[in-house]
Amino acid sequence: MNMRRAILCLFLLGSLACNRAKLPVLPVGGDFTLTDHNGQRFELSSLRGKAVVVFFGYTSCPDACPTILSKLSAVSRRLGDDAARVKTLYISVDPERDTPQVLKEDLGSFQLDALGLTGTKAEIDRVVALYGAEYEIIPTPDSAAKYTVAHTTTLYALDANGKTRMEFPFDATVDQIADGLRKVLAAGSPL
Amino acid sequence: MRRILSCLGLCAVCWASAAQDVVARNGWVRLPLPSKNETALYVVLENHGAQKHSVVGGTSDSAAAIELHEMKMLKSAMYMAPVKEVKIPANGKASFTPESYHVMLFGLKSKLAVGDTVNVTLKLDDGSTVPVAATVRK
Repeated sequence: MNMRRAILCLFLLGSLACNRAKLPVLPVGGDFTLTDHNGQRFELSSLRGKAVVVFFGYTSCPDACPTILSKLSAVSRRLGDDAARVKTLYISVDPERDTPQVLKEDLGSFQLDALGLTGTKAEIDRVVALYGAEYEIIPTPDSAAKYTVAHTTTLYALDANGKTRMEFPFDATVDQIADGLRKVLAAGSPL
Repeated sequence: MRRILSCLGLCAVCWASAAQDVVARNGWVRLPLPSKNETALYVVLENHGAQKHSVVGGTSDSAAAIELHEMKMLKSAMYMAPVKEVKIPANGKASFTPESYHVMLFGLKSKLAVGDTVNVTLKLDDGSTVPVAATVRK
């Protein structure tokens, strides 16, 4: 009986090790400090122990950003109890319009454990570069919007140690993201 | 005089047929974020006629300005940009859908709620119009 238990434990540990091996650490990302939607300084390192989804956008974005936030809300429902172990960070690339108050008000309309982040242009540029993302402010003088912001729409999934483990493209489905986040959660769990 | 009347009659028939050829289906408006008084409208415009058309603008009692926009890519980044027209091929359709074309409503005149109907009149290149009754969705 003891022998059978020992074999089972070895099998489970082996499976876990295999899962970890399948999810390499990606060469993007890293710790950063910004201002959260409550006006407090925020450090990524404060989320150790949780999986984190990072993405870049802006609240005046009429199409891509609300699509992503709606999708992540659906992912959160799909994750069930695991959703409590995942935090979303929505980093604005439009600090002129996206004050902490605006971020808090707009994020509140989504059923998602998310924190809006902003900062000075230099602070935001540093984080964008860390994650290998891009953004560019494009004037649109013929539009009531006055300017638009081109931005990367990739989702970066960080493990419990803050390491980037997966990237999801804009067209990733709810199932793909939920499955991926479960793998990230498993990869970040202590042995 | 008869010729003038005939021409006027023919023009009226052409104008009426353009307006009747293009039909709006499945119109919906994304619920605006709490701090915003702008949002996007999505709709499918079906052209059942043998003549191509283009949408060139629109009006609405619910918004101060209406613009046609398109999602575009700049390297790996996505952005929206205004466009002057959106073509509707003969016996085809133009789809205003997320991640593609959308009709922007700027300067909303009242707070919208899920289930509200927003009426928009889209203008075609020949001067005819297409009514769109769009439901607000989250």
